[in-house]
Amino acid sequence: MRGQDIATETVPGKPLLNIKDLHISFRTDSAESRVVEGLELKIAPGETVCLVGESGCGKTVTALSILGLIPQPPGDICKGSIFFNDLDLLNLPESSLQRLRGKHLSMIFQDPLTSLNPVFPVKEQIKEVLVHHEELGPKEVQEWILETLIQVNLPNPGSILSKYPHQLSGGQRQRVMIAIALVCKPSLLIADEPTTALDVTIQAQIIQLFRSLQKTGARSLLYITHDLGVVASLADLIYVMYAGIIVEKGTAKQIFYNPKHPYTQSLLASLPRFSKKGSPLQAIQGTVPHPAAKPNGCPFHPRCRYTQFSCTQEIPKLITETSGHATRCPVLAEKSFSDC
Amino acid sequence: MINTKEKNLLQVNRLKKTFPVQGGIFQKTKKSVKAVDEVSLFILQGQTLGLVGESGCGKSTLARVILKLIPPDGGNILYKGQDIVPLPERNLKSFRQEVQLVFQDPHGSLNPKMTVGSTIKDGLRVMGLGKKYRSKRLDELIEMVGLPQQITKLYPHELSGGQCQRIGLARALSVNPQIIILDEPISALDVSIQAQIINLLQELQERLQISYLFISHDLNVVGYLSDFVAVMYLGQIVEYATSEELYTSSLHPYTQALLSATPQISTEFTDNQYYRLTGEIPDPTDPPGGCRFHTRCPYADSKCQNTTIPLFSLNNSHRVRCLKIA
Repeated sequence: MRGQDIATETVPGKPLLNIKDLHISFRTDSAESRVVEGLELKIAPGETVCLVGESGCGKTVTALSILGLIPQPPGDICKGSIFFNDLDLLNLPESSLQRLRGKHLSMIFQDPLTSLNPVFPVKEQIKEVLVHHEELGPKEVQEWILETLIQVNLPNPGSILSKYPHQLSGGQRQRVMIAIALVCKPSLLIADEPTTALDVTIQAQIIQLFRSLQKTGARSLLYITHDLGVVASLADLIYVMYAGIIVEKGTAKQIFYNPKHPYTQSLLASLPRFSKKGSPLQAIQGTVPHPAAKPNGCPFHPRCRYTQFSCTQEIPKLITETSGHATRCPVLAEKSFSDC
Repeated sequence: MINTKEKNLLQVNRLKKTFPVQGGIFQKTKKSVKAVDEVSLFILQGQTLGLVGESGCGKSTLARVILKLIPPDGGNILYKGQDIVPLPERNLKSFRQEVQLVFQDPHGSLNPKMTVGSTIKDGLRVMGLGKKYRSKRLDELIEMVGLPQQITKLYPHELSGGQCQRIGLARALSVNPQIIILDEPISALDVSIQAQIINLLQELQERLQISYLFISHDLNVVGYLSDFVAVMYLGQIVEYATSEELYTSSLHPYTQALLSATPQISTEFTDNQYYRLTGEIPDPTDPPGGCRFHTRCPYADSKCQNTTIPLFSLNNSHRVRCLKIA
């Protein structure tokens, strides 16, 4: 099954991953859910990009579409393109994708227990990826695996190799998942809520691991989460997603200290903190729209404080400032302009 | 049983629950898990006690033992001054009414075959209240939790998570409780919905003077909502303080680690600030001797491994289970 290496060289200055105007919908008998609408996302080599949004906003679907894992039908990538270096991922045959996945692009899933195969020991599961992509002798395989396990800070890597997933703790399982994703030294790592199923102290350890991985190599990371607090220490760039569209994009500093979209603003204001004790939280009214019944225009307009008639007509365009901070709210952009 | 002047509404003394773990061909009891180990706490009228800890530390078991849904193995539970542990189930009717529970999974805790309205009215029916009163009370409750009246005819699958959690609250409120035990009531909800439920909880507390036992793993939420906070580790309370004391001057190394591991919205971040815990929570069937936290504690020495450590009182409200502090 080993094929030729198909990913081409990275060109300096060009993004490693470039998603343009991506539209993904899912059809059922009764309705069509437009899960992702016009997503634009770029990741430079060595960069960490965080995609933040609530459940159902299309984060995971975006990640799966990069890897070509959206079942079609019911899924339908109706429009757009995804380029990895200069490979057009959406028009690549399955055999080429097979050679790409695990080697150049890999993914870490949310729940480490269900993502690992319960009937194989850890070693077999890491080996599977390795022998698929690399021509290595048994001794080298062992070395690569041990090296990766040390990289993910697993204590006693030698004894862990023969263990089954149920014999490991949650944090250890997630480290094994990360090892599987890292073993072929991919240039892009996608982590889909890797710490959501873990306790806070273990979450802190895993985030620390990601930070140390960032330092070591020119590996890009797409980190998907619903927790704004988690991304603070990791992200070079944050994309905030709401109901299938990117509503705001900026550095962690721009997003946290100077949020420009009403959704980001209200989300940050609504987070409970010890320091806010005694005063009621500024909750966002209403609920997240169902993907099959999204409102017309800006999807956030039924919950927004600044809604005007124009908001209900069409999805606003993403306005990028010179600082790179981009937001999809013309009302607020105009308002801050007139305030100046 | 009623002594309304008692401000300590609920007091729990040295509560214990041990679960046997069976194994082998004859299902012999091999090991045991001390899920709740000599836990003492109290809940004051109209106030909130937060209970934090990682998964598996015994938070939910403690809640169920306090409610006597799981019979305790030792200790007592004083509700309005009376010990309810020895009472038979038939004498618990008023306790069952006055202490209610709201669960974590908003959908899973509602009966899928019952409309929302009949779910809420069920408790009133059991109490033997008339049909007319039940309908009137239902309208009141729906309004109280901020839902539209039409919702009573819907089934749980037609509702969102936030709506279901409001229904769960309305059901708990229907019988005029004094205490509501909230077991991770917002962790299954979307981030933008959580603040709505937190605000609702505060509003109801102010209006009805209910007490909460708020169980969560999220220190941000607990710090915001609680008057007192108890931190639990492997079945024991390791620190107990007012939330001010806990957030400004926590003393137990585990509390400090939890606080520093809690994600913060801040970009000023260095590795040194991150006081990380190494290792994971030990196997509860085989907890470490001495201080249960010594395997992960950066300050532990040989004394910590060998001595059983009591909860030291520093002042009226602050208690810590740590030798280094005492």
